[in-house]
Amino acid sequence: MSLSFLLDPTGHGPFILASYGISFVVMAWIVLASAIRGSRVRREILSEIRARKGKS
Amino acid sequence: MWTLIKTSFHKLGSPPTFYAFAGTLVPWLALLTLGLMGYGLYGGLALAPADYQQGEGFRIIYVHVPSAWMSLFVYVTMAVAGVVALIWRMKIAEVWITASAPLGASFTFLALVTGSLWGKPMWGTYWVWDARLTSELVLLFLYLGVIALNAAIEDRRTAARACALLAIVGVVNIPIIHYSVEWWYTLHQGPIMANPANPTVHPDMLWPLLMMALAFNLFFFTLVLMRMRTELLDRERNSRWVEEALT
Repeated sequence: MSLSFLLDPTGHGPFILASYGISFVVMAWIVLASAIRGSRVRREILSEIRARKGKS
Repeated sequence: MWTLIKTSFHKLGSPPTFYAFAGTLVPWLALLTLGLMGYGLYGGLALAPADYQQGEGFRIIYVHVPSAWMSLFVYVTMAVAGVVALIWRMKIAEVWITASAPLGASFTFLALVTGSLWGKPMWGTYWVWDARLTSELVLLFLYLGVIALNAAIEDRRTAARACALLAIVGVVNIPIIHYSVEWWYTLHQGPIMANPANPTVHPDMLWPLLMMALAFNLFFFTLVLMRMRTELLDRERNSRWVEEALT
């Protein structure tokens, strides 16, 4: 087992690295974006609930 | 059996039940995704032998093919959800469309980019306007259309119905993408899994591909459930169940 082909600039290494790199960056970005939006929405709703309880 | 399926379907159609059910599933799906993706990556990059014609460059299929399959699968699920949303007015089906469109767009984008990166060393060019590539690009525009339509209409239920309609109309592109390599003479090769019982790929190369495909599928389900939970909270923020779920 050798992954040296990934580092060979004369072969297909750069194309393979770019493909896997872009794929995992995009997937990580969508995971992060979803998690951040989820936590922002929860925070907003919690502060609305606290505000409602404070008024009553 | 039918009654059980029908009852579960109706129960899961209720936002509080769905929210709790999805919350239980997400961590397990995420763990399975990580495990399968790890195995698929190891198999694809380390265990599978180099292709006798394409050399090491063929390993791009382990991200390209699952992305391409997912781009079609996600759109079909959106169209089915669209039918359910329009006929039965189920909120969960509407939320499914909204939550999965950005994921489908990402898979389509990845299929196009990784395909281009494979095309350069194999075909000598990043892009050709052949039927498969062009119809896949049309699919990306359809996804972007659904996302834009959802963002453009203020009333959420109206937006969801418009998106459902676009998803249903756009599904006509799916068989065009799938059969493009058979209907037209294209630079893109034919299907490698046309007959699953007798694949044209050696098992050492095929297994990592199937594992990666399953991992991408689970990744989608993990993410879509996460996003649907957020969307449901956002839509129903003034409901009693949201207050109970968050406090």
